[in-house]
Amino acid sequence: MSDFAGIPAHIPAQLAYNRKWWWDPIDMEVFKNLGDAAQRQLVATSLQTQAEMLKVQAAGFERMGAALAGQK
Amino acid sequence: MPDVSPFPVIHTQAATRLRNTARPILLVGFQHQGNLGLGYLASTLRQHGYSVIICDIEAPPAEIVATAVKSNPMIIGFSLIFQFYILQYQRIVSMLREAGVGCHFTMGGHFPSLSHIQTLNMVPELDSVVRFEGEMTLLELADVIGNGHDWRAIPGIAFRNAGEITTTPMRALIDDLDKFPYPDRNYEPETAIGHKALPLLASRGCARTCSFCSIQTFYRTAPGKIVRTRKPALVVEEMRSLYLDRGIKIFLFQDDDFPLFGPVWRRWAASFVSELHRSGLSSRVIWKMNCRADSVDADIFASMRDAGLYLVYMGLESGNEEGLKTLHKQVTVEQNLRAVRLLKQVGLLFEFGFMLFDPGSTLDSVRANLNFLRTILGDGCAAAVFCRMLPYDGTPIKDELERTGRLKGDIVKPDYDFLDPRVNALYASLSSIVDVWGWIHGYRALSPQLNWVSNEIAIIERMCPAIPDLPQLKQTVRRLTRASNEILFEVVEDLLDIAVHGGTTTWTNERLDLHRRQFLDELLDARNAFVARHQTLLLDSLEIDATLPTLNEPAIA
Repeated sequence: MSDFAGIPAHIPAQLAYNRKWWWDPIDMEVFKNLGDAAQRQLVATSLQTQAEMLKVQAAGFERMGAALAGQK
Repeated sequence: MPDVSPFPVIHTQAATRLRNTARPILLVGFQHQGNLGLGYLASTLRQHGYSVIICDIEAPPAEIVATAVKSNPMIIGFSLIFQFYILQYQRIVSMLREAGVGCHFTMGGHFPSLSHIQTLNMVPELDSVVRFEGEMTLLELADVIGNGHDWRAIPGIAFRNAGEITTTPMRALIDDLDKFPYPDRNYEPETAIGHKALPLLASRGCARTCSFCSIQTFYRTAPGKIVRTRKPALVVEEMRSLYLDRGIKIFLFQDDDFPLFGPVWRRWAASFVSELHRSGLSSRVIWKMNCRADSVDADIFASMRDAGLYLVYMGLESGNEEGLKTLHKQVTVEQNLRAVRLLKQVGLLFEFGFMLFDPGSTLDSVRANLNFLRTILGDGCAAAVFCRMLPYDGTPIKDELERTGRLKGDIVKPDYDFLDPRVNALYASLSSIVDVWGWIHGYRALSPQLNWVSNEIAIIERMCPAIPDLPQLKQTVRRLTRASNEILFEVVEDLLDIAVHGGTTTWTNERLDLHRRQFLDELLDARNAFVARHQTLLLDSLEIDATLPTLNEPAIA
């Protein structure tokens, strides 16, 4: 949940949490000046997500492989 | 280096000029949350027959280059709002030239207007800089280039001439803002709890003299009246058309300082309120605006609340008298406290800007700032946000730091050291322990998200007041906000004590991150459970009531 990922199934898309999208002047300035660290964090989060997805895919392939081996 | 252009300046009226509108104008700028500056440039050009394409500077560079190559524009205008973006513009401009785009390149915005020499030196592929308010200058540039005449004769620009940078006489600020067409808003509005929101302007300019802000320099350097307001009836008319045509229910006023200060602008605000009631919008839309603490007054704010005002952004900036003097806010700590008190009494949500650190910071002033934040936020009414003042180009404080030999860094990352090395150490330790990106600023940070859910609650209170357990959600969010603030304050206090007395802190980045995640999870669980319970009522509240009273001719003030 804390990564704001996805819309909970019981909420209509229109009412989904649309995290703060406007920026007040100071926010914006600091936000951009912290760009390097922020970028690193974004990349790290994105890589973590990809790694999780690959794990899920790998587990799926393993199951498929096992099922196919069983059919032979 | 010549100050003024050797080319004869010819003043012509836009209405009478011949123009060749065969090729489009491409505008490139920051588009997040709607860029009214680009919007006004685009709508002014369109009003005079030009077709305009807008590209977001944050789009993939190859996409911008492809758009430029395909559309073969007559001019590409780059809008640079924040100076730290200049390297990104530099890269895109080079890519465009390398791709063979040979048309006129110009750039405008606060930084290019005030620092045209640095801009032209840093982005040598630019042909010109449009200085200060750009609508009429860009239009004239297009007209003159389209007709094959010499563009170097028009007022309001800077350019390179025989190796030297030259400026033409400045163009006066636009006197009558109501002459402009509505800004181009050809994009899908963002939403808050399903309600559509768009930005708009009631005025331009700021009469104040804060030392850290380049807006005042921008408006004081160009000739003409510094603050200009639109007619209240015409602002309301724009809101009315956006409500009826696009279903916009939340209006975000982006004025540098909403017209409230002094008797003339109070009359303006009163007239705006009365126009909102007359139009029937006061019970159908809500709005947010930015102001200073010394503009807050119980009567006028109560009347604005009754006309839809629900959120106020205040630049408080400091909680100690020395800090307020350094920042040249011309308000006192008591005025800041009083403004917060009044907003709470009137029942308005508020957000604020605050600089925990400024170039004059001492350990005592940081502690005073911390105590100020505890005083105003102790009840969990808003989440704590703070930053360090940065010396941007065009600001008096940057000039002062430069004069005293304290300015460090470069245009992209201007910086300075504090006078007391212990404050430097405090700032460094605070930055390393508090993940500012995760807690205070940015898309994923905790404080903005706590404020965002409070914002959603304030919207629901106005748009859908009958929901019975809304007070419970409000209480939960306040409790979380209070707890989150207190952790942040404890960290600052602990590091302050260490800076004074020595020792080591038990706070770590990991420990704070655990708290942050717990707060976010609890916040979103409570919010989503509430929304799920009341989704029918909340969806119903998104409907537009098209039965607005018919307006006769607006009573133009």
